[in-house]
Amino acid sequence: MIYLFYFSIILIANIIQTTDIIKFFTLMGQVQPNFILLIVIFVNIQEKNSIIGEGTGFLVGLLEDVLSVGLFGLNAFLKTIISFVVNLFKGKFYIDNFFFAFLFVFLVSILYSLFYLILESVLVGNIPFGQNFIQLAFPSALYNGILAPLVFPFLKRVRNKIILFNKGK
Amino acid sequence: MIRSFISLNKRYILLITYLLVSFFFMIVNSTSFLEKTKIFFFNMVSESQSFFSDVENSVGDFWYSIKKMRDIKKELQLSYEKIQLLEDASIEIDELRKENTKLKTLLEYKNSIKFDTFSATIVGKDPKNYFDTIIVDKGKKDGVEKNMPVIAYQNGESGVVGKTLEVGMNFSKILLLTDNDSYISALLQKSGYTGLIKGKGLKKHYVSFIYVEKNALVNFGDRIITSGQGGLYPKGINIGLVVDVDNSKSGFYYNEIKVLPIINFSKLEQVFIIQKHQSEELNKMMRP
Repeated sequence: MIYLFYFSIILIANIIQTTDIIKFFTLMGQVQPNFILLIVIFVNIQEKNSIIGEGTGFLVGLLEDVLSVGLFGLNAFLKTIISFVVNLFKGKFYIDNFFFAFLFVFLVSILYSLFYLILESVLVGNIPFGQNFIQLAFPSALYNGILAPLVFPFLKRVRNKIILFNKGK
Repeated sequence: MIRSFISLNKRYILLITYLLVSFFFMIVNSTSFLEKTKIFFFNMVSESQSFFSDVENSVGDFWYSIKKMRDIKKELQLSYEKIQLLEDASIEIDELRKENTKLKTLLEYKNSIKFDTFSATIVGKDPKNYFDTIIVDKGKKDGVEKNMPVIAYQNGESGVVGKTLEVGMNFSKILLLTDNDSYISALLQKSGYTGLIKGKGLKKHYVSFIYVEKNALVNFGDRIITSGQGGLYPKGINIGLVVDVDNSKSGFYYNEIKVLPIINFSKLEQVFIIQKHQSEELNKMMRP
């Protein structure tokens, strides 16, 4: 049941991210949140089993690769690494706190963008690294950081209810 | 031993596998096999994506319609307000145009009058109903004196309005020719027979032409003008037109000749006060 929940929120995040719905969340014409990354972070924080979290990261990244026009495998690679990093620091942050949730997601987002831009630059080339980082990656990381303390408690509540429901069965 | 190693390091083995697979995909990125695989999965995923996109578009269109309707409503409201403003402005322009035309006509008339006049605007009516009087915005300061003849211009014709009755510093009260106490020496323009125009009150809409000899032939529509006798009104100013002749009683004079004043007092806005000395001089000049 809980995997169905993960699958559902990943699907919803993908739908939002890959359809025109994202324009409702777009600020200043180009700054968008990365809902898929947010969900990967959430799953990895909540899931005690790191294998599931990292597996989720890999599969979600692979799905993103299928849909995106970039280097195939890059998103799968990065999401796996990000999942590993989140698992590494999981429990060291009190994520229910608004500020820590913001800071954690902001830093992870920055790290993700940095990895992404570096790998794109190395493997594909011709990427305006600085411009992309300042104009897109940094505001997007801020956006993710702000959204995290708003989205995570809601998702956590649903997840807990599902777990309670399962236990009740 | 291998089994226990795998079970102990399962997480890391999987992690490395994921990374290697991803890395492998990146290396063989341009191979036709991967391209085909990617296209295969892409077709699968994009079908669902298309479905959700359609749903999103429908929902989006719905919200857009609501938003648009709200915008249109606002625009409509603004348009209404603008139209209202324009209508008000248009009415104002029409009023100003009418006023301009009227003032031009009055100016032309004023220039054509052979007397020196003060142009005055009616600012009120006597609050008491006993007298037919009006108040104009010219007084002693402007040179107005008591018993000055007042005329007006309406529908291309000039006519007697009355005379100044009381003169204040800035305002004057004018006794209309329709007042019961108003008497004006007049004559029939066609035959020259004289008489007196006596007011009957504004409610009557007409004045009486009395003391007219029965020898005079009086017809409907005959014009009555001032005779110049009495020294107040200059000779030849229109008073009104005959509308009825009462010859029922025997005697030397007609019983009553009803005269409709040339000036419609209910539409009166602007009057001209004839300077006294001029009217007197004119009368002297006109007297034989």
